[in-house]
Amino acid sequence: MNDNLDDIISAALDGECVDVQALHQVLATDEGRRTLASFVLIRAATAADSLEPAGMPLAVTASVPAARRALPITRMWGKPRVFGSLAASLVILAVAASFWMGTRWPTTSASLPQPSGSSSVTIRGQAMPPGIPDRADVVPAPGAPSSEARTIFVRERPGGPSRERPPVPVRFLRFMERDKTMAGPAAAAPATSPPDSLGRFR
Amino acid sequence: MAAPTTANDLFARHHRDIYRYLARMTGSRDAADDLSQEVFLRVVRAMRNGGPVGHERGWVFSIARNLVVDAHRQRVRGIQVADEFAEPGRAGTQPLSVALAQALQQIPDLDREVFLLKEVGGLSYQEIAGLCSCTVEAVRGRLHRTRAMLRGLLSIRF
Repeated sequence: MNDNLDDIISAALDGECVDVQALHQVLATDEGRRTLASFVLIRAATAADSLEPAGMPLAVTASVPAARRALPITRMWGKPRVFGSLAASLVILAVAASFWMGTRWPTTSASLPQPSGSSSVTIRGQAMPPGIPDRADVVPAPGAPSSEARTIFVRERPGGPSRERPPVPVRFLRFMERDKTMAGPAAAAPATSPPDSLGRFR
Repeated sequence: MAAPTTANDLFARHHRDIYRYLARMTGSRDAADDLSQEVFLRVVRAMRNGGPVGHERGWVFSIARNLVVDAHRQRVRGIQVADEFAEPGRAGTQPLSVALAQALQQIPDLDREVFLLKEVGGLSYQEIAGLCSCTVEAVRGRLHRTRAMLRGLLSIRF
């Protein structure tokens, strides 16, 4: 029997549409009937397969309604830990918002601390040269604050105090107006003369 | 009005056949257990997104078939079938069923797949052709070829 006739038996067994006349011819032969019988037996053996699943998959325990209950946040409101997390989040947001607002809205000059009245300070730990008191008065600068160039001197005495020889400043910081500094060498010249023999600048 | 189909309904209707299909395709019970679980996990996920697409049984078997293809690519298969499926079965049919299981492992993958989708899955030629991306005629030819091979391997003679 050729394959085409076997094919008809197979398709007929599966309930597919076949040429009825051709099927009749095939089944009229002994070989055709044997083929049909063997195919039926194979089908029966397949259906009689004793394989059974070992257990129930987890998918069944996680059915659709149960799976949907797993995530909704509405069921979590009653749990204290959610409130704790929410409160912590709000605090963080409030801190971040206040920081952002503080950087965006600078304080006005009226709220800045103003210089106090006159006072006096005592210079300690440093021997003053003769004629210079170790006590100085601190008074507000006259006039309105300006951006005029000012020079602040820092005196260092590597060799320790000496009564006979006045200290000589070896380093000083000078703050100058930016415009003068950038104008050129002439404008950037020192605003003060070198220190005198007592280490004082004029 | 009929109640909507749930994942449990699909499981009750198709789990056993899906497991048998997977076991015969992979040749391993462990792989069949894992893959059948994965099949119904995907079914549960898909049910959230609208449920079966097209014919219910064909849809579930298409999931299983895709998993088999993936598993085959990952070389999950490899356990010999001889001892794997030697288990007590129904009286009278056990020897032939065990022999059939062994014979199926000697069938080319594509032919075995078509055979199992038809015999175990009960899908139509059209559905099998859609799943396997081939024509109906190819499905018909493969089925016939597989049965003829099984007949020879099982030495079924009348």
